[in-house]
Amino acid sequence: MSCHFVLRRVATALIVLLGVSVATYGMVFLTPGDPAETILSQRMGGDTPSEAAVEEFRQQHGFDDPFVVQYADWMGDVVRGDLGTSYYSGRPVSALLWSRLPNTIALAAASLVVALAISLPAGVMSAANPGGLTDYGSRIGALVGVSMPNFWLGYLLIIVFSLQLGMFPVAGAGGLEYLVLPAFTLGSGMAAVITRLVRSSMLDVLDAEYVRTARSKGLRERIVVYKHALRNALIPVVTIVGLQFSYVLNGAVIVEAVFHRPGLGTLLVDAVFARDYPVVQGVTLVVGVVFVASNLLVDVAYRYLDPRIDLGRERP
Amino acid sequence: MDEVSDARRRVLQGVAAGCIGLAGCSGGQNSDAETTAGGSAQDVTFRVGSPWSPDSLDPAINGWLWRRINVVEPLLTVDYDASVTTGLAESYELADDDVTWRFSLKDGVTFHDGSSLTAEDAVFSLERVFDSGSLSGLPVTSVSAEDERTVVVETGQPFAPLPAHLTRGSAAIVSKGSLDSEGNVTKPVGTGPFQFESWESGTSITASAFSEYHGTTATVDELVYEGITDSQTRLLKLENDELDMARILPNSNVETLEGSDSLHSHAYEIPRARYLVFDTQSEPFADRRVRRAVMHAVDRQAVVDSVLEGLGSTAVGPFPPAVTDWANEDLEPYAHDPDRARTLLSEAGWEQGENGRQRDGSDLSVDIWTYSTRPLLPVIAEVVQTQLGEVGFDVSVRTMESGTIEERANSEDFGMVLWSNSVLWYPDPDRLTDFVHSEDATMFSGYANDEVDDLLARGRRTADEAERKQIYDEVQAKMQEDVPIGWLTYYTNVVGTRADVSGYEPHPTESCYHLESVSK
Amino acid sequence: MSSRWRRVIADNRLGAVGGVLVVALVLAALLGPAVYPPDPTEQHLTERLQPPSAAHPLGTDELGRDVLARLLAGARISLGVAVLVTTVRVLLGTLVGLVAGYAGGWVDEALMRFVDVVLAFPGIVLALIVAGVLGPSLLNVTLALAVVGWSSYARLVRGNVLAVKERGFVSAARLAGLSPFGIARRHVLPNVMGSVVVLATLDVGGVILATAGLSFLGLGAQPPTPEWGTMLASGRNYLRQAWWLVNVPGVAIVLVVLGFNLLGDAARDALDPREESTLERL
Repeated sequence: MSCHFVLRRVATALIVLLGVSVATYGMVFLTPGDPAETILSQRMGGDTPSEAAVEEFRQQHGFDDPFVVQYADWMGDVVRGDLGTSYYSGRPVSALLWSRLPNTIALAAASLVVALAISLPAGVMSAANPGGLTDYGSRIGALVGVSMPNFWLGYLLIIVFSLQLGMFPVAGAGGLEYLVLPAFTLGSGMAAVITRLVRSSMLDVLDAEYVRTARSKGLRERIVVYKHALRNALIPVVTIVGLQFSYVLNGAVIVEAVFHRPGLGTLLVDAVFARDYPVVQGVTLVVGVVFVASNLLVDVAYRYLDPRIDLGRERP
Repeated sequence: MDEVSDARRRVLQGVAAGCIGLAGCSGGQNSDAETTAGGSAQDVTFRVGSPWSPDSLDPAINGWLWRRINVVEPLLTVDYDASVTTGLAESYELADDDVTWRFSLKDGVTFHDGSSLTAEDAVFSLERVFDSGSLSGLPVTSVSAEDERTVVVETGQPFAPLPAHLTRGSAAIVSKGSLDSEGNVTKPVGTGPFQFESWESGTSITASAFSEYHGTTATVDELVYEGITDSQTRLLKLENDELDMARILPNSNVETLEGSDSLHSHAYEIPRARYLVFDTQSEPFADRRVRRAVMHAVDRQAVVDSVLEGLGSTAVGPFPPAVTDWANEDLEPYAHDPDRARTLLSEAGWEQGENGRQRDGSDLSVDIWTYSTRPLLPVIAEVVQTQLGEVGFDVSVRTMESGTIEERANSEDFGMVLWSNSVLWYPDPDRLTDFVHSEDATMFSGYANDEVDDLLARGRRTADEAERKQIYDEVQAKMQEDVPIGWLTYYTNVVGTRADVSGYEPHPTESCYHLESVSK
Repeated sequence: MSSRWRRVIADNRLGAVGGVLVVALVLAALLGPAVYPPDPTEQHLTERLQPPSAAHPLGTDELGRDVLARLLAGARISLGVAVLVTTVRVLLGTLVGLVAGYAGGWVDEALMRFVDVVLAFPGIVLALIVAGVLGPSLLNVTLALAVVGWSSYARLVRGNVLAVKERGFVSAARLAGLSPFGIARRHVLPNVMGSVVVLATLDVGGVILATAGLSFLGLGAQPPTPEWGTMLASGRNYLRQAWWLVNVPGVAIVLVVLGFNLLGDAARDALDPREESTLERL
């Protein structure tokens, strides 16, 4: 793999990030009006703020400066690691992000565990006997999985496992017990996509030269499947899983809302409704950065794993 | 998560046999040994969930919340009859000049950091909050300490509502130890029965019982406050024993609460109303007859009976007479009378055509803007939509974020806004200024009536209670005549608790939950 | 080989189930109100929260409105939004992909970096911000979803243009005097159409889910519009009293989305079984 390729990828990633930051800032800037009323009203516990207080708040936060000035100020701060302060709480946005990030990462990781726990056996068994009953069943299961709205599944799980069986807490964050239902809600959707990947990747590998050789050497089918084929089949799967990040964040927005879990998703939703722009910008920027970075890694990893073709993500 | 039931189990197993009386105790006679921090097995934690999230440690910003969980206390407080009573000040008086207020501090009050309350602390806290956004609108000119125990507040002109404003959480007295060297609040150090332990911004607060409290100390050892926006999540958490108290539940939940052996409901009327704000500056509601037509077209009793599940009552004026003496009980209610509504609309020139009512070729189509954080408002809006449709209005309902409504209603024409606010956010009838003063109103009807403005100004200047009552009765009568705001229903608050919770007495203005008195 | 055939048959069977579900949705959207006349917005305050019965096969809601009538009216909304969003996505993506692939050079580079920017945001997050900025309404949700999801089509079409270019069609066609759009129509679009249709079919299901999700968060349809996500969200207040308010729209969403996914899935395999991993990664 050439150094040139990596450098070029990093350079374009940086350009994309710049675009992301302008888009992030611009979108919010284009919003009609400003959030002074909303924020003051929240601070007053729902009472309606006076116009004098609103005006004071406006001046204090420099809502009247032109776009370029506001953007340059913001970007300058961002480069120094300062994402601004929340209009709402007056707390640094970076502190808010840091306090919420662990919950979202835990959710993402746990969902992935759930997803893999479902999809690996399902995918392997489907591939071992394509067209068989297991294949058929896992396929339908996967399709139902992606078709299920997270918010509905979440409530069904709460009613059955929290209220009826009393096994898990309804909502919030804390120990592992708080993680099970949200992770299952989010993970089941992910499992659907990964099952398909594992299956097709396994089919590719089972068809490959070295597996056929192993078979011809008289190794038992089970060993062929699990020892030789699976390990190789997993390589593309693992890299693809990196791309599931966007699915996790999409899902986290809703799943965290359903389970009232204080993570990046709820932080964003609350900030959007409250029009707490520094927070919206901060979350969006972080999401953009992580996403661009994970894409970059996946691209490079692909190139590294299989240098013969430029898969990148550009092949149709 | 289940420290408490763990504790109980251990108690039942006899491991801590000697503690049974203590762990199960329901009185307020906690000994110091019990309240030592550190989470020993006998600690009782009380968990309360409410829609508002803790967003700031600064009482000047988030004081109403720190007040509700009784971490901080102001000079004056709100009594159970929604009137002003003493707090950290054991007495107060207005000098003959009508602008100088003297507050004598209670003795023996200790802050959570161990320091004693002095007049200097009060001056420090009040000056800070009068400079901040929350209370900067008050005509206060100076705050000073006359001596160690007396605080003097002067206003630029006579201002009778001052004591009521001093009950607000943002006017709480905090220790200078709350602030770091840059003036940022690092933890709210107040004088209440609960002291701040920790918080998660936007999520929860943990407080512990303060053993040096100057009143009756808290019965429970620890208080956890959780901000949970979604009402159903609060209910589900209560059902699943993750909360001991869930506040502001939808009326429909009373049935669920009452149907369960492990839950209990408190439903009580509070001085809060649901109402329509009319845009009196634009057609069609610039015409008083059209506003009155709306009031006659809406069947408020049907709203109460159906959507409100019979909880709440139809509103006449701003103040619910059942809760406060400031209500003008002679107001004539607008009766449900669709025919009268139709006549009024015809008189105003809106004639019934083939496709609804029209005047000069334009349709009688109006918007209702409302918000969903009070869960029943959008549903009520839909009922009003249908009822107004029956007399010829063409109504669209739009649910927006409440801040967006405020901003848009202040800057553009609108039809009606369905809103809900406390009518005694601070326990003084001057609250009406926020509703109908031509310039100082925070509600956006655009209503301007010199006579009303004069009355409101007089009400602020007048110290005599009886005289004030007369003035505000007159304001209410004017409001009833002109209907810049159409009062729909009063508000019954629903609080759910676990059945083992005792000692909770609902407070009408909810300025403080008074959870120091509960036990479980 | 035989397993491949079994799979195709199985696909067709599943695809047929998907087809039936989708046809059912279309019929419900088109004919529902004619077959089942009750008004989805008419309130009967005395008949609130009634369980399913002969008079109201799926019960009534918190304002005494007939849930079946609302569900049918909601089918029209879901289908309408999904088709509109997907159409805009396909057109926008195809256009960008064609221009990028055909023009090449810096135009291609710039457009593809723009696609990267759009792709850098998870769809719902971006739609949430757009809808939050524009204010809650069904139209704004439609707009938000349309502007976030077109980039996959752009990549797909651009890739095909490049492949066609490589095969020398383009220079030949250009010599034959065909305009760029002529080339696109004759050589590029026929090649890529199948993949676009498959992607779009799978996309429709995703759009229905996303619309419902955003409405659930409170950004979508306004009352009394019976959008399924909105119905589910407002039914939550009666979760413990009226199970049908949450579960009826929930089941409806699953069935419809499943229908589109089954159909798209079968179409994908029929088109080219090797294509699947690529499509998935878009």
